[in-house]
Amino acid sequence: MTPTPDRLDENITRLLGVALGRAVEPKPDYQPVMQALVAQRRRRRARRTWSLAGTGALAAAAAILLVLLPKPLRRGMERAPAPTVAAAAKAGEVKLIYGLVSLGEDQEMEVLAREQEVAPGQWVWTHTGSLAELLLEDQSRLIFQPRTRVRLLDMKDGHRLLVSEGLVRIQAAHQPPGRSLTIQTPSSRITVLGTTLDVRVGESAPGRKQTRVSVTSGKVRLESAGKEVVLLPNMEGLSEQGLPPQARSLTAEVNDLAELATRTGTLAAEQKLAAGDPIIVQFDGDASATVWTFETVGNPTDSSLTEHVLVPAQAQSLLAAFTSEGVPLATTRQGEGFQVDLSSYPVPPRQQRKLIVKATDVRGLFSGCGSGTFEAVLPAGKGGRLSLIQVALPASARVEDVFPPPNDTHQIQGRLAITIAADVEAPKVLK
Amino acid sequence: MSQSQERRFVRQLVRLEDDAWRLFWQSYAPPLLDFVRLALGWPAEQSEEIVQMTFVRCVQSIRTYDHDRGGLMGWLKAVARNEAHSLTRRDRRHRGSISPPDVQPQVAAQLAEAIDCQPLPQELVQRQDVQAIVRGCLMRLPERQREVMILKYLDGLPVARIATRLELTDSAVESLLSRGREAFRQMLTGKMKIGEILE
Repeated sequence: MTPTPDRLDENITRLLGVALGRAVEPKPDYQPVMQALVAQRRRRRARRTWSLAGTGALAAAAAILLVLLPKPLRRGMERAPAPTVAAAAKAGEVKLIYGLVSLGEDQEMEVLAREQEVAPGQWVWTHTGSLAELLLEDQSRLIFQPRTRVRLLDMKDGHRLLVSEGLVRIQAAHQPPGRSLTIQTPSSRITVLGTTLDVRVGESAPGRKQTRVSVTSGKVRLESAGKEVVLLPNMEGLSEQGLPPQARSLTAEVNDLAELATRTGTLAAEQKLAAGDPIIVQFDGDASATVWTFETVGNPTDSSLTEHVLVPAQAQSLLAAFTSEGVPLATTRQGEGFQVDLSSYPVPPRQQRKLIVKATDVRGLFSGCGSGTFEAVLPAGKGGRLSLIQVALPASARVEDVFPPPNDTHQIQGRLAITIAADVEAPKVLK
Repeated sequence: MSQSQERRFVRQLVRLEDDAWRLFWQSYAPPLLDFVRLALGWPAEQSEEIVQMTFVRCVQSIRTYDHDRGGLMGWLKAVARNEAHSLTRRDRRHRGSISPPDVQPQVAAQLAEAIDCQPLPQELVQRQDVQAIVRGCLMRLPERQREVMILKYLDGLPVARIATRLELTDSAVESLLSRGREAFRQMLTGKMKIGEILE
């Protein structure tokens, strides 16, 4: 292709836009924190002036007093324990990791020097580019990301935190019976029990607060508008003021597969056909692919099934398994198969359950036709069944022909996703 | 602000007067943010961080400011440069930096091939190593060329406004732009080794 100045300009604009980010105005949160910092510095200077003036006089008086006191009394004073100050109610301790962090009541914010106790009712506020850690009395650990505001509310039945904006990463300690760590956001209430999670409070539209909770381990209950959802590891909950919470997987393909399953059901009903399981095929280059599909695990026994072995159809393929909600299940290599731990997702006696299976490095689906062109053909099914197949290609791929014509084509996470409804034999990824 | 006005203003800052600090922030933070973004070439978010920490340092050390060694803005810029160095060190420690072996040869080749011929694929533009190369190229431009490139391509300002902002003539801005763009293209099309760009 011929070089053109316009193309160069367009590419430089895009490259700089992503590498440097757009122009910014200084954020309004500089001003209050600067005021707090200046006020704190002024107070410190005033204290130092007073203490310098007083130190000399006090030292002289103490020396005279000690000399005048009888010897036994002086010894008693030396042995006397150090006076203790009655401790104020303490909810935890906040530690500065980097940058600028304020602590205090609504009007009186102090800039945190290093680490300080936090009393119930106080706010902790991390400013631009700043990080802080809060260790609660129950040993729960919270990391506040930049521009986060959190208030510690009360401690009657456990710690309660109000997150008004920002992102908090929480490693909750195991809570004894009757106590829980509760997080209140403008749109929801989150109850955690010995869990690692992120809580992000932002805006879905101007003035519309949205809470996102993503769970790394443990179990979380998310409530809003009188409804609740339970979130398990690798799940994300979303809530907005006045709307019931929604749950989805943090693995995008699991959500896509669930959406395809719903659409398959609707389409199949319209065409009076049976609905097959949807499939996602991701082209990984070099004629290799990753396949996402459903696998039904039956349990013919009278006791719960807590493990199951999946054997890949191709020896080089690696398998991963998820529950239908997207919670990853532990898999261990066993001979030529993979043993899936179903103890957290057992199959009840004489019943069956669907798992989501991800098979990587699946060969033979795409065949090279030379000069970087690939072709994928799926054999026709036995008839009377309809499935949605999503083929994900690199965003820059040029598609020459698709048959049958795709139902939709769109960009998703930097990939070109082509969805086709057809009666085809699913790619065989398991034996 | 004249020199004597500035001296009086600094005395108010040293006395920690609220109004003086408010004025200091309002008048000096926006140009300092511009300086960190345009002259030092930092991304938007980190630029804010550097400006904020610069002002924190100022509150702590305004007493050490010496008029005889330069104006207030010059002092602020020097503090901002130090803060930028600290941030670089901290980022290296916490996040690790992109070094030449991290850049795949086909990525550099794809960039070189497409930069002035076809739209770059979004996947390529989003890559961290590509972003490091772009920042590296920008840092290798002379300061004036870098400022003009950022104002033109990032902020989308027309030549006349860039000229007013930088107190230059239109033709001087056009000349700086043309040289900056050509140098940028030369670096991205492989006329400079990745190792030198990321140095």
